[in-house]
Amino acid sequence: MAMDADDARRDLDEARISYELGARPPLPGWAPPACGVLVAAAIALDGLAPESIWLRLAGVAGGIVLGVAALLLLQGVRTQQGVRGVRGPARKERAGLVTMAAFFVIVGLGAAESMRYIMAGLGVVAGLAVWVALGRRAARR
Amino acid sequence: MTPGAGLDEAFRTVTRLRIAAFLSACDESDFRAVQEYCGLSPSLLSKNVTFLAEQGYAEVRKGHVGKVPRTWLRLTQRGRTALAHHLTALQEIADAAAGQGRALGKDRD
Repeated sequence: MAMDADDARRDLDEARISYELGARPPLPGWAPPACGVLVAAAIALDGLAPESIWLRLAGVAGGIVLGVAALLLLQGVRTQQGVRGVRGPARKERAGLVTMAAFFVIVGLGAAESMRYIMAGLGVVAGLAVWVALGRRAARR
Repeated sequence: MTPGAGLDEAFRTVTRLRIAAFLSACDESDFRAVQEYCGLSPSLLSKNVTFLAEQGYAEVRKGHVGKVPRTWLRLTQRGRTALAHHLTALQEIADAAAGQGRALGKDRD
């Protein structure tokens, strides 16, 4: 079964594109801004750092809820499109997101009040990054 | 081992390769989603999925969502392994050609 390099590269490209579509199907136009806003709000709320420990815990918990909501939104869109579960490299990306979320939770729990605006700014930057990154997927439709 | 020795005949057509690669990204997928994203007609998808199922590479599950009948497709573990070997073989062919190209370039210098 002979195959030349051009055919091999073409098949590799086909496989990569199909994998991408299976792992990250195109999104409806409303999903990127919605996720961006949720992520921005999650980080800002997480870094609110009020003096009261209970309010601080509530802020961090609220941040977690908003972050999870963003993930569930993406998962819901994918399920609605008829694709269930994630396999392969895309699954590892999720593990990276969980690590990042854990980092923000720890930072949120120990943040000083003066860091509030830095965290809000970080939230806006992260939210915009999510919006732009997911927007590329929406543009593939 | 010669580059490309691990190529699998089941994935030699672009259509079957697309279907398998798409299914490799998920646990299972709706027939219509595969059809839409792989740009295939229902009959072509059905024919190729049947072939993959005969090889033990894919499974077809029929069910209902509410009252609507649905068909779900998934790649079996055997199919995932076979696809991984096939992609490795393709990469070997591409790499071998690139290596030869570099060697030729050096000879000319």
